[in-house]
Amino acid sequence: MNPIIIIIIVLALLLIFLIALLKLTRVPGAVYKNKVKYSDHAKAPVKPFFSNKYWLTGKPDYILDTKDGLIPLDIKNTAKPKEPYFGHVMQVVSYCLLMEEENAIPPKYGILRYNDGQFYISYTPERKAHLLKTMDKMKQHMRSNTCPEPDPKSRCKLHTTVSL
Amino acid sequence: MGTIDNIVLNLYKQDEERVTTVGMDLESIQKVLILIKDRTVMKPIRSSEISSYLFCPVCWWIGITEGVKITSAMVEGEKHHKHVAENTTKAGALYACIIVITFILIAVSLCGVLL
Repeated sequence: MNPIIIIIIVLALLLIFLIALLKLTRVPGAVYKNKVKYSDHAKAPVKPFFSNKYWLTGKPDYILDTKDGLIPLDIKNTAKPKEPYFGHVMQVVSYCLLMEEENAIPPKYGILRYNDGQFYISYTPERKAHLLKTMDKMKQHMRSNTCPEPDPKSRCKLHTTVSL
Repeated sequence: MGTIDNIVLNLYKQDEERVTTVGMDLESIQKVLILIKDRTVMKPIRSSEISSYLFCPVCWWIGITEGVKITSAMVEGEKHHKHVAENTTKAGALYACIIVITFILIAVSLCGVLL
């Protein structure tokens, strides 16, 4: 057999093996394909973002330096749903808001990574407005020390109809 | 209700290492946690709380009023995060190797064609 063909076969097999190993690490492709600017998975603890204006704090799993600018990435340890869960979407939007406050430049989108896939969450004015409205409701409950009413549309199996 | 200036709390990660991230000693953090529990101060909203509130507002309320609860899901989540952290460097190195081998494969194939 031609030695070049043997080399090609060996390299191809090695490539397949390395790709399989890479998949086994379960690290999102966006992480190793881009420069990581911030990571909540570093050995040393990282400082959370904080907005005094919105009284909001949070630590995205990663902030990536991509061709689209700085982008937050959040990892969820669940199977990928057909559509991203609304709560997860708003969590990513809140990271976008924190980054906008920190850098004065709003991220174009955030990435929501599930075990077997990911969604790109656009950071739109509508989503930002919805986030602020949600946070206002939360703050009202915190100030008045009152428990919110159960949400009948909630995915929660415990508190859809029964009031505390 | 008062507020705490510029203090960020990560209530699910109260181990000493994490506490140092907010630049406070453990004793100070514990005092702040007591104030929050007594509802005499308001803590900032954490991004993950927004997800929790939208999942179920009652669960969120129980979580913030009954204090810190480390559920099995959270522990699993933490384990997963650590797993990801440990593998990030490995994944970067593997990705670099894949790119290099791909280039070599293309070069060898071209040589084969030319020869």
